[in-house]
Amino acid sequence: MSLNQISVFLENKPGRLQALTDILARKDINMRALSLAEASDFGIVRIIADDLDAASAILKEEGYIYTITQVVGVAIPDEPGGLNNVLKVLSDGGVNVEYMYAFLARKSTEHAYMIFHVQDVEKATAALAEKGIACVGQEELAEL
Amino acid sequence: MVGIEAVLINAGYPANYQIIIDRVRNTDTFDVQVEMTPNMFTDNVGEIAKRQQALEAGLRAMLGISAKVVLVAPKTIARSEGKAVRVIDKRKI
Repeated sequence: MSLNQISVFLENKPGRLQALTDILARKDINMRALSLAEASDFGIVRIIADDLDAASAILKEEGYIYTITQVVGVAIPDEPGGLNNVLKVLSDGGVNVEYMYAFLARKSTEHAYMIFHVQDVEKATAALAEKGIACVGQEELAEL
Repeated sequence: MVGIEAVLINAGYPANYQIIIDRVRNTDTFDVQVEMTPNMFTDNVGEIAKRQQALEAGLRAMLGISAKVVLVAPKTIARSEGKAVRVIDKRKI
């Protein structure tokens, strides 16, 4: 069970990120999560959008360079140790976490939701499932 | 120009490029702007940086010059009558 993340190439210059968010806003595409990774002259913006197809279509039309990556979304109890437990399950399962970021759930106040980019999605979801930790699927994301 | 194209094609990126020559503190600088292509892109900043460095190494090996490769967005490089402007010399001599 994984989520679709859109990773977009941007030049590391003023206005580039805003040009992208402007395009998404004009097409009524809602972003649930965003993370930015930078190098000196470029960056990658990673987005979880409500509508992957609409987002992909407009990015393609506007000439952006992007890829779709599978990531794992996990509900983490919003208390000390919540994230630590999940990371322990992953590391005990031999799963490497490459990056992670939060996403906004509109309905839950007891859980924080984190997106994990891992080397092996199948291995990660299996390790989490074994410990009773459910991963968020694309349909569930819309409900959260 | 053919040399730079060969380096890009050998690396697997038949990309649009432009050379910007400038002078910084009495030293000529040679930047090669390369438009990002789908097959050059990957969801890993470190990997893209490695590919950028590999292009720089290729340019150094083939042309004998230290050129900085700057990755730019598609359609950044201006075209005049359908052909890309290949060299921009900003030096004021």
